[in-house]
Amino acid sequence: MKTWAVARFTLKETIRTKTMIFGLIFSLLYLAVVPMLSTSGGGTAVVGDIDQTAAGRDFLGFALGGLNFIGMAMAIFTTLGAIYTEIERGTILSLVTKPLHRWQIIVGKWMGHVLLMSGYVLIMGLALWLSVGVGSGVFIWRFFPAIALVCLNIITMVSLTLVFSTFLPVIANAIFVFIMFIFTSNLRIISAIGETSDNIILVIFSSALRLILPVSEVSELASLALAGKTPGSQSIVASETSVFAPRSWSFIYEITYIAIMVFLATLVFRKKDLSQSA
Amino acid sequence: MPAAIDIQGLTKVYGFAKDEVKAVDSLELKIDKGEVFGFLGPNGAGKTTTVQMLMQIIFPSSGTASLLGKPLGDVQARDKIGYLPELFQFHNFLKADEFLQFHASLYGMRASERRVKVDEVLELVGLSENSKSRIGTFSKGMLQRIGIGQAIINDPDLLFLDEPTSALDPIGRRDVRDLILRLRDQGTTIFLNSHMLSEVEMTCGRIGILNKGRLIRISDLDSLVKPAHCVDVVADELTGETMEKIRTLATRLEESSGRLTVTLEREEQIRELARMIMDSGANLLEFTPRQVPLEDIFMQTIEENA
Repeated sequence: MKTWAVARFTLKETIRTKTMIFGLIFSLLYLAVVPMLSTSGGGTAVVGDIDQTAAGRDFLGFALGGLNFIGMAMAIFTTLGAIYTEIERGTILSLVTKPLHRWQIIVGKWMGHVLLMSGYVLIMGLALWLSVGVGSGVFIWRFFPAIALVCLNIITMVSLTLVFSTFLPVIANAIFVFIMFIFTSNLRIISAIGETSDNIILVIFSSALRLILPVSEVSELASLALAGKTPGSQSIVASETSVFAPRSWSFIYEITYIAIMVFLATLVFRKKDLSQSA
Repeated sequence: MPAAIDIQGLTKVYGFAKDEVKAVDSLELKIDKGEVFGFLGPNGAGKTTTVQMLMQIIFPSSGTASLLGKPLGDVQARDKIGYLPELFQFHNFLKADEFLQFHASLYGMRASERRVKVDEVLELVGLSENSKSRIGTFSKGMLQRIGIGQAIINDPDLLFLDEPTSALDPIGRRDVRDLILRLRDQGTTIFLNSHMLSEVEMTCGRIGILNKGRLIRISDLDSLVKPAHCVDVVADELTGETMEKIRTLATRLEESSGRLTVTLEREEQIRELARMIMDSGANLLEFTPRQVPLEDIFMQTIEENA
């Protein structure tokens, strides 16, 4: 109940931040643009001879990619100062001196951010699905498992940013998280270098590095889910090497990754001095 | 019956090697239930660090302590502990009643219980009329009041107040003083960190003086203030011989703009002093006996231990 009180409070607090408001305005613009694109070709100009279902699926794939990116960016920006800013401001004192375990504060904060961002993704996803569906006349139900995977990605970014926010100031946290995100999103380049130079170790190494932040792989899994394909059946990217094909267990790994991140955050916060006076 | 606060060898060290600073050094202190204890000391003495260690905001480098018979950090014990930090910061977007509702929920109170308690506390800290105002719009005094509100919302058995009146006007200070006395009468143990020595004098039964991290004096306020007596003297034509005699009689002598402030150990020495000055042939213009204020005792203690 106390953890839930912290979660509700976090949700209330975060929804009022400028970052969230800016993100919502941007999302509304995005919602306005996607249906225009899906109806602009009337199912012919843009898609050529592909059938209506494929056209709808492509638009949803495009919308899903955008939502995945906007959602992850919003998850990062809204969670950056979750703990550190509270320590800096001194507002954390009123929480840690109450009859709560420190892990309850971390879990409460995490739950607040997760609820907010998951709610955001689900509402946005539903709105996109409806607008694309109404625009193209095709309602693709496979969109929902894909949205669940996008949700998982967003929870991952919340969890990772929360860990850093227990000990890093906002800007340092942003730099670290974005570097990790950009690095793990571009591991194919390292792999390609390995392939070109026949360096198999570099290829395997770049594949293994995907475990540092599994969001890119799960994003691809979401695209596969939307396309109705199973991992390994067909690559998303034609030129993709086999080591970079998304693995079906990656979303299970991502769930484990989230649990580890939350555990790490509680571990760092557990014995941290919270006064700035020293 | 276990003590409300039992501190054994509590130490906090900041920095490493040459830069090492002992903010609190081997503190030993026992405070009984129902006591109002004044914790005094100059800036940087380690008062806030001590309270922060007791509240587990920071962790001791060594030593142990218990609150209400439970080890530091015990969540059950915190159910009956209230805390007002120095320079308390708030979540400004909340309204006063929302803020207290939130803090009450952290004590596990049910919604119906919370509503009653929040109204009661708002009334107690004089913010009933501002219950729907955002905390961001509050004055410093109002912020301090709402801070006290969150500290007492759980009817604490043990209350830590770190500079509770620093931002308050005289009326606010009097209100807080009355509140402390009321809580004391209800049996609440209060640990008061304050620079307002007059306030400590009016509310505390016992004081401890901390300087450079070390507890240099601990005493009942009665036995500290009452035995010493102070006399303000203004006199013309005081000879060197008379001054020497006064110096011998006094435990402390201060001279400022022709006024002598003589501290004496016993009350009967006041008459002796008056006679001594009159017999010397000096022209006595003013002779005002008074008790030694806590401020003088505080200054003297700090100077002696500098």
